[in-house]
Amino acid sequence: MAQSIEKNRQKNVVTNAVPGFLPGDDAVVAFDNVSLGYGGSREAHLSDANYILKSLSFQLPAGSFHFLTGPSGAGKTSLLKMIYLAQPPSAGRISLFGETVNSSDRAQIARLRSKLGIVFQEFRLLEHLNVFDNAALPLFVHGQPFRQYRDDVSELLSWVGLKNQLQAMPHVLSGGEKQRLAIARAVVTRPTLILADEPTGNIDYAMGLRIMRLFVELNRLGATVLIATHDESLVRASGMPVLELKDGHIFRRDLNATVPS
Amino acid sequence: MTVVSRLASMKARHLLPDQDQREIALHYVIGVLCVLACLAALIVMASDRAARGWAREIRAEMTVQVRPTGLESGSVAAAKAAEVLAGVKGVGQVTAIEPEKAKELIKPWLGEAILDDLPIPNLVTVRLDPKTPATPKALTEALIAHDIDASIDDHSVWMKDVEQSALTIRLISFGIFFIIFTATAAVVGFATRAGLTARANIVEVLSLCGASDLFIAQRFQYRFARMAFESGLLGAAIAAGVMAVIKATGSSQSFAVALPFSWLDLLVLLPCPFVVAVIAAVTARIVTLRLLGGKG
Repeated sequence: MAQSIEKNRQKNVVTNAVPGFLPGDDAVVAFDNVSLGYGGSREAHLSDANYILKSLSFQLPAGSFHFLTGPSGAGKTSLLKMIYLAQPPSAGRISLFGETVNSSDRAQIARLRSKLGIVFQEFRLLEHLNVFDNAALPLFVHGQPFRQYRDDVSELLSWVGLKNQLQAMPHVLSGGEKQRLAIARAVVTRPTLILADEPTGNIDYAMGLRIMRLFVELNRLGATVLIATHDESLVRASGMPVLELKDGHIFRRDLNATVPS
Repeated sequence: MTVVSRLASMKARHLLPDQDQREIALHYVIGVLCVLACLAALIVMASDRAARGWAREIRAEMTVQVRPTGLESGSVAAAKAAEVLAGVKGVGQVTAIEPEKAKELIKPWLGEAILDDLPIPNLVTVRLDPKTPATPKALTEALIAHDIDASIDDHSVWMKDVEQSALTIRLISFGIFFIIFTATAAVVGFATRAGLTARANIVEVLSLCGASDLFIAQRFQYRFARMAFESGLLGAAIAAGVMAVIKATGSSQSFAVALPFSWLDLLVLLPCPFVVAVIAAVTARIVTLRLLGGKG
């Protein structure tokens, strides 16, 4: 059984042309022959054409930074959803922090998600909470006392440029401010893995660059980062490795640009 | 960190937004259910008290019908029986009913016209000592010992009716309780589902932030428990007001006899807000956990 999995893994690494994704003990995310078809999970009867993602095998080493690109509908969001456990795969095995998560129960999902920081294109801020409370939400959820996190959250909000808007409600913030708040909320627990889905989709180029620098900085602090985007100019400007989804398969592209300062 | 932001951060403890129109309607519905439940509780108390009072009255008295022997008149026979019965241990007051009074007692049923043609029973009422009441057997033995022909009615037939009526009222009231509490649970369950659906985005964000199902369920549990407590408090207050009005104005005499309220009955309303809050909390918790459990 183990040999068969290893054969499949090596086969898919080759066929999907993703060099550099060899198995490693320090992988934060590991996909092993993972497919996703719509019409229900684990649909063995689905034909090849029904799969949006086909036999993906790759790993994200701890501390790595990757972009995930691809045309609209390529499955970027679906892939992220599988990583943050909102979408089970139809086939294959997904490991997160060394744990197989295909059939996780709700408690395991909650525990694993507490190690994730997720940034959504549409921000998903809680409109009835102010900036401070939105940013502190994951800490509150994890039961940390207010006196323990108030200074950290204030400092973090200063770092993302929102120190003068701690009491502001989300509806008065600009798109860039909302995105920075969403990033602050995602990283406030110092997550091991940061996932961002089109984080610059609703903001201008300059703000996009600024936010990218935030992610790079977080990566330097030790977080593994995966950013789904279709913004090629930002990708090129960052010079970070790229995973590209095309026709249901994943490919790796390396760029030689410098990180904008 | 300013004082304002510290205070603002307290809002994080209320992760669900303030109540909307649906929850105000829910407040009203639970409040009405609580009024009904509290009135049912007060009626149980009052009817139980009435039944116990009637039973006590009935048990405290026996009626002896004396049949004269030989040439003695009915009045003389009744007086003799009264004298004998007065000497029995456990008997308080004995009264031989005069023929005229006996006629007065049966006049409402038979009318005045035929009374003279009817043989009027010779009755003796025996009021028993409430502490050590005499038994019908003791009274019978005393009468036989003095060669008095009489029969004793200990009102046991009436007792059965009263006890049966009291039991029926209690069962009906408990039935009403059960229906009201299950209705409350159903309403809260429905509202929890609606609340989860309306706040699916909040639930999802909490879940993606690593909140466990239990954590999310606790938010809804707390929300609905607090709401039910407030509604229960209001319901109990309204029911207490209704009772106070009935008692203070005296209402009709027959109403006071049928449902003799006591101010102490108000104590039974105290647990109402807590009971309804517990029902709401448990229901909200179960429904939330069940709904979240079905999601990936």
